[in-house]
Amino acid sequence: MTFFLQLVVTGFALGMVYALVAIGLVIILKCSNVFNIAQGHFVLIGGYLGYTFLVLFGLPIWATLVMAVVVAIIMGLLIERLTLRPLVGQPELAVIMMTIALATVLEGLATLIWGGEYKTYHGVLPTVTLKLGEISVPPESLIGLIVSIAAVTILMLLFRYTKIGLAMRATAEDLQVVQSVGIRATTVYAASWVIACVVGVIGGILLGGVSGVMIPLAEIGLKAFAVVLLGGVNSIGGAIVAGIILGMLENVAAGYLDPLLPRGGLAQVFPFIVMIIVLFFKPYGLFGLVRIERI
Amino acid sequence: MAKSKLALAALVITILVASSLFPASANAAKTLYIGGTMSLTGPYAEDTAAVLAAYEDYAKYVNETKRMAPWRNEKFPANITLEVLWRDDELKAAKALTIYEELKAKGMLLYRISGTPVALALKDRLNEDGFGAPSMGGGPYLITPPGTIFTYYPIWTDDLAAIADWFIGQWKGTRKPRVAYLTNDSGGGRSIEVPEMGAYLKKLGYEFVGSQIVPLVPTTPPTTQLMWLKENKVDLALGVMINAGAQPTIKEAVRLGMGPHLDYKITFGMTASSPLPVFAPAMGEVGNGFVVAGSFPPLDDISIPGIKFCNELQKKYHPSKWVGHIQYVAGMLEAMTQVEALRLALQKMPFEKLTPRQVLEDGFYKIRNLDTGDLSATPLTYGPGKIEGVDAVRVDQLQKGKIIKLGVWPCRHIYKR
Amino acid sequence: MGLRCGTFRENYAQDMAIFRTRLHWGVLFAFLIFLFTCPLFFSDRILTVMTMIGIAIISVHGLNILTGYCGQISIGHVGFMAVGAYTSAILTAKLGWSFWPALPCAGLVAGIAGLIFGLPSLKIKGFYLIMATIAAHFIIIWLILQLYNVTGGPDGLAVLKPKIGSFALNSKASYFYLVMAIACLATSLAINIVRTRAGRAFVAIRDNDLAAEVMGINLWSYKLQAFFIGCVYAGVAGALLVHYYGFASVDQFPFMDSVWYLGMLIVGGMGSTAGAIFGAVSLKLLDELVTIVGPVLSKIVAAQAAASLALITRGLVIILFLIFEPRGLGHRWGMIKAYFRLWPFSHEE
Repeated sequence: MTFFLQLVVTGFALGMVYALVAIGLVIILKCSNVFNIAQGHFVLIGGYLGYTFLVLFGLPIWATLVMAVVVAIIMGLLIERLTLRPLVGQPELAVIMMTIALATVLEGLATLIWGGEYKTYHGVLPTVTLKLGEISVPPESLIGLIVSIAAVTILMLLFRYTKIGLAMRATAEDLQVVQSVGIRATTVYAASWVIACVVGVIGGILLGGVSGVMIPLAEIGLKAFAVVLLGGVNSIGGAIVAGIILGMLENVAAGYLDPLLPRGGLAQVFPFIVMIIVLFFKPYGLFGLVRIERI
Repeated sequence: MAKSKLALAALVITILVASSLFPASANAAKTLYIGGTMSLTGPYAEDTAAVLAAYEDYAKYVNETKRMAPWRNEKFPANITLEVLWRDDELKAAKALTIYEELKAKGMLLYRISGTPVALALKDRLNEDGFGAPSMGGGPYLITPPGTIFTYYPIWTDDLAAIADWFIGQWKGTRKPRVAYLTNDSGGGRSIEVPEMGAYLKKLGYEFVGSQIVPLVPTTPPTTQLMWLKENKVDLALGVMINAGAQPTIKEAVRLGMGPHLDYKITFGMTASSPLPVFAPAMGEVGNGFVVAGSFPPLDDISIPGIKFCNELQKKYHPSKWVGHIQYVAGMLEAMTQVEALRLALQKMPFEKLTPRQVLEDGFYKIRNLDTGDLSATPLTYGPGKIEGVDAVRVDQLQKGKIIKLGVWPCRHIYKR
Repeated sequence: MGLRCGTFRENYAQDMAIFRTRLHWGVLFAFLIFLFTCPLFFSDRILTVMTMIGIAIISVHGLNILTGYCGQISIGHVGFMAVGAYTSAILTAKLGWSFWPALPCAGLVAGIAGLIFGLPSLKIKGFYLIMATIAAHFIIIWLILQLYNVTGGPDGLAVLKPKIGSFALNSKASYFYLVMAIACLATSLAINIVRTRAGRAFVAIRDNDLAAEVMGINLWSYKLQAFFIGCVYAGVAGALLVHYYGFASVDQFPFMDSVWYLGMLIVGGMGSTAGAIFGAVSLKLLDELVTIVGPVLSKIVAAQAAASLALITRGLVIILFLIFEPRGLGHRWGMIKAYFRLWPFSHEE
């Protein structure tokens, strides 16, 4: 039983991180219908920014978050203005290609600036070891939980009460109508990229605190795809719930099934197996809207 | 019109690119190339940058002094200069293939291997063309014929065998010690799961429990895998991990109260791919009890002649840019092996007639007791069918934040094909 | 289809002809003669690059039929290449088959794998389908690792070079001929597949699947056909790749390569056979350029900075290209042809 509960708790921690990365993907998908392959690379940059501000500059965690968010906002604005704005109205696949190129550039930049090195900041983030009976709760999951909840609350408020948030939701609904009532779609796009960058960078700082930063960290973006699919592409709340479900399922399945398999490694592929099963039975995810199409 | 001009410009660029594919004009007189493919971007960027720095420093040293090392009397032929040639392969098999052809066309007589994917893509080709190559990755796949790729440390199964030897020697329990693999999810990490390894562990008196797989770079602590080890009462966990995997794993293990000196007694033994000189400063006391086999001596231990030599070269050639990464030592060993192979081959054959196969057969295969100034566990010896240069495995443990040498165990050569 | 002024299509055969004028035939033969005499005047290095380009072209043709013509976006193409690669590797290395029957089997098995992972395509499209194909890649690679008794798992499998009689295709030149012959065959097949009933159905599905269904096109059957054909191409390309390496291992099929195959298709231009070729050639050459630029830059900056600058350059070239030419090289090629056809009285559209 302890083993099972431990798996669940750890899976929860993992799920929060997945969710945070997935939110960035969902926002861009919702607002500009772009499948952002570079989302994992935002996480990578975030991790290195965390290292830079926490270790090199010796800033406290709150200042690090503020600084990283500032950098992320600038990064988001630059990316949108320089690479995606020129492609407005062009085929969707050209935009996907642009995000592939973006991923290459970000990876190159990370290697250029930080030497592609493995950077850690063990012990810089506040650590609290919680014990519930036999089960130890990873401190990262608590931080992840708090930051994720904060991020989601801010986003919810943004989407409900601010003009730009409403504009973003409207754009997601129908671009042409939005343009005809005089909302600037370009502002909406810029905002969505900025948010995606900020969320990714925050996720990166958290992940870096857990396991350090290195170029392959960008692969977290792939797992986030599965989360988005399970939750439904147009639901931020869905992404969070799906992230947690997937994190727990992955851990429990790996914990119990791995020893039965000749070569193990189920955790790596489990999200994708879940994905295929979901696609068969609930193709629009758990919380996604079923699209009604007309000719 | 503007667009057509643009298209024309694109055409010109394409032609320029295509023309650069042609091999450069005749080589400058009497230059021999060392180096080869490097993974300067991608997951091994950090390690490879240090390796390349060592290659360049050593080439400069030999060119200036014509000596092989301060402790050696042999001389490199005075009329030949060395030049380091490299290309970035991003650790991708497809790129490694075309890079290899390019460097071969440029007149390289030997090669180097930057990691597992590159080794698997090139090993048969190297054999076909008779190229010898030192390798940074050390999976057991190198043993299977052809065997023209050489390591300057024991391959991973032999690393782990040494740890198993050490552990059983100090085992005080009444039951059989229980062992499991805790290894990373890559071709290299999983290459230890060969029947020979299991058979050897059984022969020593271990009870083998199973394997747990950790991502190459985990994005979350591998709590599940560690809990599984605890559930199954494992005493010794063996595996291949790079530092980016080993550090969070050990950190999490300590948090779960697992370690040689903690509530739950377990020892973690890893191969040289997570070298202690990188691990120790990052982890400090948290990493107490972590064992690594096949590692190099740390860069600050200047009582070792090889390390002293490394430090002198760094001070001399790039005093402002200090390379502190331990793989500098790996690069130094690779460069020494390559240059020694060239020197030996040059004794048999004049410069003009040298071919890769001669460098392999009269060079690499003839290297006997190459004194590396104690950078490697023993002097290096190669030959057909003998691709592990060393005959002993150095085992180190982190104790109280310091690297302590546990001793040297003989190389078991357990993987045979 | 633009033809020179004064060229008329007067009967059905002429209307259907791909090579309509003498000039077309002349250019084709000149190109083929040039291609198949390459080994006479090019070095091993260039032959290697060209062989790799040839394999990429075969693979991208498959992706083009699936994604470019039928509109089913796939980012799991390399997974299907791995299926073909391992099929051929197992048949030749473990069961002792000859390469020649193993190659079509590789295509067939990859095609069947494509059918399985294409099944969700009936219910889903766009983003969801991209996800399904990504999942396909990871599940396939994981299965290959699991079945280590057959596939060699992480150790991989040594593969022999193909033989004709007792003559092994060992040299760069002989393998170059093999790949180029198959690439030419694949290209001509690709051109013709999209002109069949199925090909026209693919285009209809891509442009609007609901409308296509209303017109009586069986979506289920045609989408699966597209997956099958696309993955057969991938399987053949994968088999050619491992026989060229002489070794099969999962490291040769990284996920990012799938992304880059899609990239080749986009850069070349979707839904155009010429585009697939342009894309494969240009991105592979860009790769070569990046490799050469690094060491040149290292004369100015440190080696690692130089290598990462080269990587950034590749990204920037693609970004600039997309901004100026989002419809791909195939589109520009058509424009240039039109320009010269009407020259000197051409005008910009």
